[in-house]
Amino acid sequence: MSNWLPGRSTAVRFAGPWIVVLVTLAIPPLLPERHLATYVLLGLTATVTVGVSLLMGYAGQVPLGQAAFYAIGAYGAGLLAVHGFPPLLALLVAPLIAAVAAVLLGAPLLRLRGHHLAFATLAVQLILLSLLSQGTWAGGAIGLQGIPRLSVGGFELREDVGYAYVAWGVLALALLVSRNVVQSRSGRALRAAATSETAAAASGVPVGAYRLAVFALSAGFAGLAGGVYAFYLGYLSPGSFPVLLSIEFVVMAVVGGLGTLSGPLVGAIVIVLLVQALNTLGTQPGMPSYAPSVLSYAVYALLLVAAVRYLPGGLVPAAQRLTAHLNRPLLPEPSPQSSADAQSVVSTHLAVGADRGVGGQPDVSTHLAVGADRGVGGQPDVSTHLAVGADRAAGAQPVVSTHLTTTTEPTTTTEPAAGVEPAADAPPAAGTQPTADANSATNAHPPAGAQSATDSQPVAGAHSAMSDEPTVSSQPEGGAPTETAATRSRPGTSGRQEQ
Amino acid sequence: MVSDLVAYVLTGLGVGAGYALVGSGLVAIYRVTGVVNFAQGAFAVVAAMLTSTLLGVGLPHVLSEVASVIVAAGVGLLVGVVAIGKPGTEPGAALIITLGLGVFAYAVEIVLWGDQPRSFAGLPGVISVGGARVQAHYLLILGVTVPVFAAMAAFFARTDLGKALTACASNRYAARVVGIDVRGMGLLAFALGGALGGLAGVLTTPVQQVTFDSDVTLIVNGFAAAVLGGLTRPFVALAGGLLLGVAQTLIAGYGGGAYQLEVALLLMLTVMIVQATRAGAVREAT
Repeated sequence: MSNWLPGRSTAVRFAGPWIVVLVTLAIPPLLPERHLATYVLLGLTATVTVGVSLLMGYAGQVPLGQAAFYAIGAYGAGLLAVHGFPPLLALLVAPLIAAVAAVLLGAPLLRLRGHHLAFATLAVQLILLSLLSQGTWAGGAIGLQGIPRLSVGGFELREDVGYAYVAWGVLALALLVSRNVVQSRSGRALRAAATSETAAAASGVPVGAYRLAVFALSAGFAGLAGGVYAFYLGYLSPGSFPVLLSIEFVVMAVVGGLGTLSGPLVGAIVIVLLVQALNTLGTQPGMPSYAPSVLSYAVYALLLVAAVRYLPGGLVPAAQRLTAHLNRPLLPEPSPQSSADAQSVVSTHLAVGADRGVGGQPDVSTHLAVGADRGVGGQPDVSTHLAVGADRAAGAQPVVSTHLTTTTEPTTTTEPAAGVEPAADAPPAAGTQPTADANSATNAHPPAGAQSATDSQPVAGAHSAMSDEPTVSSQPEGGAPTETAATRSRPGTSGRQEQ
Repeated sequence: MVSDLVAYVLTGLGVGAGYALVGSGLVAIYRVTGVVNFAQGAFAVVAAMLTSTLLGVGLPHVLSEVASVIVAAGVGLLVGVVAIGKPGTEPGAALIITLGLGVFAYAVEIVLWGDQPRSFAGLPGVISVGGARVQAHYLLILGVTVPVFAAMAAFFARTDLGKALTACASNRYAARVVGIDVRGMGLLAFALGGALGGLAGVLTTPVQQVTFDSDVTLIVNGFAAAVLGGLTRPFVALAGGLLLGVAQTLIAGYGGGAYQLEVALLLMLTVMIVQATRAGAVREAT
């Protein structure tokens, strides 16, 4: 993945994607049949994971039922093809069916947040599986059989090599669309909404519509991958889309790195290869019959837990930090292009400001965003999270400093990110000083002033925060309403602890 | 037939009590830590599997079940240590960690107990209530669950430890300020949740056999029961679980047996959407 890592020479950075494309195109004919199947499924899995990563990293949702849309796409394409539709047309319709289903389901479901939404998506998948296994129109529990091969005109795609190209072409399409969405104005708005819906809505972002759109888009990716899956295998059953598959997509997205473009791809590759290797190990003579499944469950579980606990940004940001660290003397200042790419997670917390500015002062917040991206002294790794910098600045007392932003009324919060930025890598004591930029930002909104996190007096800090904010401390559920933007330590933040 | 109806309702209450126990475990953990514990179903599975093993080696009934519930509490504590042990872990990340631990439990369960369904004998016999014949075990489930909930209520309201837990649930920062160890209370809540989940497992397994991946059904039904009370009120979880159980049994009894799970899920979705709509404005909570 050298092409996405900052700190390489410009030539490499431009040549990188082409190298990846060439390697991708060169691999299929060289693989033996058995591994070719893995290669095809890897491409499809990564495509779904791109959508999952988009939902988790940019829309702040945890989808536990993404395999439902994979199944909808697969069954949609399969049923159409079985009933005489031209296969290519059926494949093209598959993502539309999945996206439409997502819009219909999402309209009521996306009122939900957090774990409610996670359980709702899980419920949708369970309902779908139950309906599919009972519906004779879909082949029931036995499955849908006799799906023709993909064909255009008179040419029928029979060989696995062909499906490898189709699968990875679909993946390339998903990555391209995902990149364009993320880099667009709506992508910034999405990240803003993931950080703080109230703030984003107050800045004029149509949060509901964007959330629905990205939900539908990710379902579309899953549906397209599902369509290819249907034609590749020629047979579908509800058992092909278990709940565990949805969890696997989440694992891949988290391990690879949320909020990065290459994260889903890296996560899918790493995990599929690892599972494949363990599968080979588990089927060795002398191993118990349950070994392959146990090993794959264990690897999913341990990778997920380890990634969330010890590598919250995932593999890609960690690799980026490492490369940036190694290349620091050679690279005094990353180019804006690569810095924006590498720090896409960072800018989630600043996106509101960058999008609309604070109180009609776009310059202030844009300035803030740039400062965040550059970090201090060309250390992008340090500046990962300005907002959470406030959190970490208080050292062992994160709970105390979570009150930093609670002075803003939830309904009127407009600029949570701007008000609380301490210099990211400043020592804890200095971290309480708002930067000049933040000052000008807070002038526009007096209530958003940064309460100083008194590092040495955690209790006092908590106390003053409570007295300042009666609405918060009177909430029955202490944690929930105070989790404004600054306290939400998204993946990619606590890597800084090691430094 | 009135006797049929009574039989369905009593059976449903027994089934629902199991959901309520799983749900109350979720509630116990959520209100103190803010974490929705996805591994909650795994506690039930572990306890049920362990009970079948203990009974198999000749331990008497009550002893096996109690030992399994204690082990489940220990498993809960372990899950808690991994999920919230690291200071500053936010609830959303902890949810994903518990998701991972739930999958990890699959691996452990298959190694220890294999991937075949397991069950063990419960309270034998059939009891006749007003002309309706009900398996005695359903009444046992109900008979254990209701006192457990009463004991929980007394524990939360009357003991210092229970009050400290309630304080953490009410306002974590204030609890911290007055010197309550919030993280320790969170771990205690996880252990309590483990015990409640384990109790659900050992009670329901005789009437509903358990496999390593039964946890998804258990957690979804438990969540459906708990979500009625906004995941914070144990007694509403009990009411929700009982309601859910009765509704499912009635539907199964009057011909819609294949759609039991859908009913639970649709009920859960409806409740959540209505709650979210009534809550109105966008909330920043995760």
